[in-house]
Amino acid sequence: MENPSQDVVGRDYALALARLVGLDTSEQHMAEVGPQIERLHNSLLRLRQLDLADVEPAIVFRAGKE
Amino acid sequence: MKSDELCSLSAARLAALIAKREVSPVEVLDATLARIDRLEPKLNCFVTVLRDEARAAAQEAERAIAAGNYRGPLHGIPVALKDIFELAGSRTTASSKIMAAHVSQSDCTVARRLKDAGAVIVGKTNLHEFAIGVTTNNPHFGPTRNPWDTSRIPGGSSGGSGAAVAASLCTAATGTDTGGSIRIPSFYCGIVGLKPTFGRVSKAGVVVLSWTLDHTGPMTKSVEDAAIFMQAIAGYDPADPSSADVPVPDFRQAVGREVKGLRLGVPREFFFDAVEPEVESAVRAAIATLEGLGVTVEEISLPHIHYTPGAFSAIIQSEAAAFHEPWLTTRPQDYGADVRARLEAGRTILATQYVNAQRARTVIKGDFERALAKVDAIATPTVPAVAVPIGEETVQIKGKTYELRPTANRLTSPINMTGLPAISLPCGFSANGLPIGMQLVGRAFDEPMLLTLAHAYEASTEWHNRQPPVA
Repeated sequence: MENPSQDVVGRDYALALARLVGLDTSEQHMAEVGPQIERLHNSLLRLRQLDLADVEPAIVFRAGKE
Repeated sequence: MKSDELCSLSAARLAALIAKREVSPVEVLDATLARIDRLEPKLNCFVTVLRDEARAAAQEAERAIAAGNYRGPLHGIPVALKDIFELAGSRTTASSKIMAAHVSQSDCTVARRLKDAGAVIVGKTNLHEFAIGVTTNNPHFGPTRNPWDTSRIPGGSSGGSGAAVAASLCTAATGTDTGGSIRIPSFYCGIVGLKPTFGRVSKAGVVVLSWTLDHTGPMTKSVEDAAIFMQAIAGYDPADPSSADVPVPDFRQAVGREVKGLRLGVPREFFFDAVEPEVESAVRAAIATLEGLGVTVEEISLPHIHYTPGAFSAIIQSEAAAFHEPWLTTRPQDYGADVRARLEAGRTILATQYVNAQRARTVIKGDFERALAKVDAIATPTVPAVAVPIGEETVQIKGKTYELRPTANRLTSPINMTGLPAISLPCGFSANGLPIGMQLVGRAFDEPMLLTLAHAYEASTEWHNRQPPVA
């Protein structure tokens, strides 16, 4: 698998991820899902620029009393 | 009063007539069903119309009211449920092939509360398959059409509810909102849509899309109707693990309150960056109208807002993929192509990416909390551009082409990340006659503030009185 730390996630990385999680990787199916995977992971790249030191996940909502 | 006039009335106005026994619930239902018969072939708002059940409920309401047992402003009012809310004895399909034969064994909490308030449930409305999308261009049940221009989308995912309310095929309807699915169709269809605070309205018995982002709420003809609807459905529900045990205010009392001296924030970043000029000018004019009513307007900053789209995608797609995993494994061919692709893409998100998205959410939520410590509400456009033609997957903004889905929910999804309440209400029309809406965002559990501001604006303008041409 190519290095996901690169600036842009491309077709090969999307294909590798699809294989990894057991998706149908036929050319026909990848034409549909491949661009979705690329777009999704490209949108996630921006999060790497956010300083998350000392930040906990947003378990912001509790059941019962607020 | 003519049958169509009756249908076009708000719940508040209908309720006044019903309470005085000038109009009967059966009369209202007959008018509504006649209108559904006439317009549903053009609009395709419903998956199921519940004629017999609605008639029985209307007759019961009529008997109860005649006997002096009037339950309040939803008694005898025709409402619809998005077909993702369980209703005992009816199909709940989520507008999917996968759940097409699913018959609900019990009422979801919202349906039960609406029934308790005396509402007459006329049908289950179409949605974007499993609420995963913004068009309601549904491959299994057909596209729902926008009453303002039937060649265009009503938005989604609660598109059937939006179109049905706008075309007066029901007086009000339920929606769900995970990234904007109440507010987006409310914008496109020219109605009022309220996404309450996370935990304010129960999700028990509603098909899941994303546990930490899903909300349920009203889609109505007016702000006052949203308050009336909220009064019936809000409140703690032990059957919903994310329900909040907080007092329920008198929402209707918030309608008509003085707005002079309230503070409205307008974001410096993001919310006006990629917005069609006619949408921006309508929303800025609406803000000026509120200013003219004595509201103080000031600029606010949400410095981390640009991280929202990535974090939102990671959370919604991971959680949706987890919920759908059994069906995705065994019946992938039964999903529409767009929904299957989005769900499968969600399976490729790493656990670390999901956790970091939830950490980003903490940062984004903090931005909103700091801003709302200074102002009473925040005003933005609801959606960057008006409804596109059915089948179109892109949208033009200032001459640039954008993918439709992430653009349609770009300004609404950040609010789902925060859990804060937000309302969309009509604030103008495009040159080609399509509705434009403004979004107001408030502090946690302060829906009354949104209702106060929204009603003050609505009372000063005429946009909500326009009727779509299909009607």
